[in-house]
Amino acid sequence: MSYLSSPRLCFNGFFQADVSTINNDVRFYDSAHFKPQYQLPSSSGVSPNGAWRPEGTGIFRLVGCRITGGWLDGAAVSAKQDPVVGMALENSDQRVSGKLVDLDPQQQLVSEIWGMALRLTDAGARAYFNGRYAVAAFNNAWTRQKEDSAPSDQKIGAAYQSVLEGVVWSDVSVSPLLQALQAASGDGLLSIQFNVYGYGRDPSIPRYTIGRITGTIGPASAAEPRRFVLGRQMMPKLGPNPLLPIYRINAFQCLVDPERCTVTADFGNALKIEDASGTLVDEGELSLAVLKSPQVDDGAKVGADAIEILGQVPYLQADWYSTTAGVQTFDYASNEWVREHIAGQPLVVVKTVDAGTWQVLIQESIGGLFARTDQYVYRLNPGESASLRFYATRYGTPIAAQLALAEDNNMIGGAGSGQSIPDVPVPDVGVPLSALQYPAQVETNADGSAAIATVSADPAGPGNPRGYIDGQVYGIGYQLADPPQPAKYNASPFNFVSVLLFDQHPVPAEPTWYGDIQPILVQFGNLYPIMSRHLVDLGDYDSVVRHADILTLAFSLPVEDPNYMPVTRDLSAGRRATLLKWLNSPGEDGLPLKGVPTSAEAAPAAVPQQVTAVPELDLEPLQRGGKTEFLLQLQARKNMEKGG
Amino acid sequence: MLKVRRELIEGVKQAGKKEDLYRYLQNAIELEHATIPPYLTAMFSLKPGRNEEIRQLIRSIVIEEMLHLTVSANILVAIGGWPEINTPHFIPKYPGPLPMGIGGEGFEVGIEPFSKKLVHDVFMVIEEPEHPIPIQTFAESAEEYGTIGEFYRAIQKKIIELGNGIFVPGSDKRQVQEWFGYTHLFPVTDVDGAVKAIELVVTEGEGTSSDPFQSPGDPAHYYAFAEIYHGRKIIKTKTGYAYGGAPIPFDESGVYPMKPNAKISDYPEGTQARVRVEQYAYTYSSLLNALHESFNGKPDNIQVAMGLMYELRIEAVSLMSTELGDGSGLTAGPSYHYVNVQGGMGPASVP
Repeated sequence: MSYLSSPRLCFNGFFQADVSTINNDVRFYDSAHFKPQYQLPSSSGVSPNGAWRPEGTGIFRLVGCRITGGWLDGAAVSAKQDPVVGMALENSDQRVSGKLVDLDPQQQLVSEIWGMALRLTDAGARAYFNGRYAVAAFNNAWTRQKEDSAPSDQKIGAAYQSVLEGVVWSDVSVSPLLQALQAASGDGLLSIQFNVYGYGRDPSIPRYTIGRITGTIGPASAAEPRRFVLGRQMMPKLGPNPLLPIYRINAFQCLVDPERCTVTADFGNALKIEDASGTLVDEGELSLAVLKSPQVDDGAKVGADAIEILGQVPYLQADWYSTTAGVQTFDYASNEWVREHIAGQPLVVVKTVDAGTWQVLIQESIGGLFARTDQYVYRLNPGESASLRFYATRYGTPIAAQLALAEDNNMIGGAGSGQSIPDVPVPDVGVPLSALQYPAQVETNADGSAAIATVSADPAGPGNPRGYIDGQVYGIGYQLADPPQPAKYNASPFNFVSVLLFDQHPVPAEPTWYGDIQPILVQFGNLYPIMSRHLVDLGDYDSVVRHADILTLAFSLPVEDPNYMPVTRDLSAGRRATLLKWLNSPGEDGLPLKGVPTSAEAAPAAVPQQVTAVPELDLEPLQRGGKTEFLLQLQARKNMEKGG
Repeated sequence: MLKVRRELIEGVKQAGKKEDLYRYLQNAIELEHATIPPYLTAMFSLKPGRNEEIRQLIRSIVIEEMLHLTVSANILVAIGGWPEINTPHFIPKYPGPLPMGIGGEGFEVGIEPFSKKLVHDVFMVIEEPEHPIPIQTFAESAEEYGTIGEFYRAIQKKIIELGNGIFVPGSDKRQVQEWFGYTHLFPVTDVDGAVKAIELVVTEGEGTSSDPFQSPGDPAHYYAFAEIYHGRKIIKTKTGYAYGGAPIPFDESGVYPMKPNAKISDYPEGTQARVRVEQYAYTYSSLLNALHESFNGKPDNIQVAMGLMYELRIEAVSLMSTELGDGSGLTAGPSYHYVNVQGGMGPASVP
């Protein structure tokens, strides 16, 4: 069960991601070279600067989201049929907002939502249901919005899939759909997927830090993966730009229900948009079809004998996107050939060229083969380990397969931005390799249960390879080994595991402000000025001591708590323990120990052990300090490496 | 002249059983809360790094108002009542009168940025003691009126009269105890505890009848506001007290020019100001929800409420630095309305 099952709810509205942009350049972590101007916005005209939102709060929240449609018993549900359509999907009204958190300045493509809770409400009830959003990162960050639509908009859209946990229901007798959803859901879970797009970065427009969101909520069970659907995976052929499929349809997933004879396909993040409104670009007549052969060349033109059309994608109908979130169910009950063959033949999206000719824009993963790990973002302290949960499927059915795991740093590394900061080197990522251990192979299970691969961090940690920034980031790639990955296989550049491995940080017997605490807090204060300027001056002993109670609370909370400190989740267990020990060990004056200032000579040099050359980028000010720049820089760096 | 409606004090005096006191303690909770939005707004309107001394003075007063709210709620819980905090009418209408007719006929309190006039005309009136100590020009005599202090003392007296039997055994487990320190906040389980707690509330608010300081160096609210207004700390002189101590400087340019007394609907949909004011109102409402839970069986939830207070402070910065762009030169100002949803971008508009 998942959001592609029945029943489901669709919602539409806005989201705010009020991120701080200073920590988008790894070189700004070098406190010794940090300049006050790095906290200025790009609009200040100085360079380098803190990009388009240096005073961001990190808040992620839904804004004005409403249930706009639903699906129950094989039919769409309207407001006339069910009062659930029109209800508000809101954030928690009992605690602080969720926070959007990057894993690391050198891996900004797995931004996670932490500490969000959602509820369904209207004038009749505070919460028909509420639940905690299980921490999840986006995936499938494809370029969706037209380049010329609004220069400073984020043109990349992305999809989040997760579950609501600890779901509590109140009386839902007003809504047949909610009753059915409650009955179908187990384990206190609901499956939730949403697409984010049309994000504004221009401080002068109303949509500043705000974007559009449309998504789907359906039943879930604990036995299934949370962050993807055990279903049919549509994989595009990529060109030189890894985020721009050649035939314009992004990766998406489908679910075949053989009992109901339906295919439910999620086009919510697959289609291009004109602008931030989410108006879908007219790509011509598109249909979902079943291919009669095992595979086809991407972009090939085919005749009627090559495919069996399941139905047109009604994406050009007004309100289709906003009321369905792009999730469309196709009924094949009356098509005998499809009934017999859909389980073993690939799905395709075709575009009508003329009567009797179609072009294949995207096809199911070749051979129907697909491998995925459920969770793909980890933070590990030295000595900790994590269990990666792997699945392999053929045409959506779990299979026993052997997967190979290996280093994959294609989508990580770099400075994060292309600004010119010559005095600070950019650390290399993924080194030393030996600090992170994982098996070279993992065997998946045919019964649909997860196969576990344990990733362990060396108890000694990576040994501060990056100098001025804690720990190291690693990418772990995986692919099918047996059965082997077929030729011409379109793999997703996003399907790898990102790990942030923290350095070892022994807790001193008597931590002092100057010796141990200031270096940690000054860096955080530099990168998160909204906190330092308005709540606690993290570089100032007196200010920190004055707020010792609230800091002690915030540093003591579990990492999932929305009030956890720091909101960026980039403090190792050792550093946190040091902070807490310091806060809880007052000296004779009743205050945490101040110590004596360390001389510059005594402080260890905070320089990376291995560095990487980064190209400068010539960008508009509002393009700086975000996903776009991170990607452009990765690409430019790869071009530079290729060119020698 | 500061006034509490006389019938309220009379009502307390007439109470025959503990249940009769519930509504008056609920009134006290509402009154203590009612001062927080105006004080908090004035404090938040001070730009970072400027007017730090004024900010700290107001901050300490706001914290004590929160303490007083907590004390009143704990006493209500101690005698078997249930504070009600998560309702739309809990937040007074601003600008408008304070609960219980505080401040007397025609006295209204609004939501405004910091100014000395605001401190003098509103905050000092709210906090004016039963018997102000003559300090320089403050020599008005007090005749017949009811004050907040008098109201609290009536409750104090009634609790003594009703005796220890009104306290519900075990209710201390449901009382909020954290964040204010044990000397200021302690479980109320009997008459002595309640008397002591109320004494503290009255003293912090008004000082004593002979001393403007609630504790050495820490003037009662009225005198602290007067210090800000006069721009000097209060000191003891040979003839009494005077605002003649260290200067408390005020930099007028260090205040956000926020729109006063804003309603959510004052801001057009699809603007940054509208989105941020709705966010602020939502967070404030969430804070009341969290406090309600804290005083209704989940005292540990006060930690969650603390997180919301800090988030509110950060959201205030975003709000008050958002220019309205309507030619007024103003930035967005907060609205204190109890809301269940937050929007502001309009149904489908994408500007």
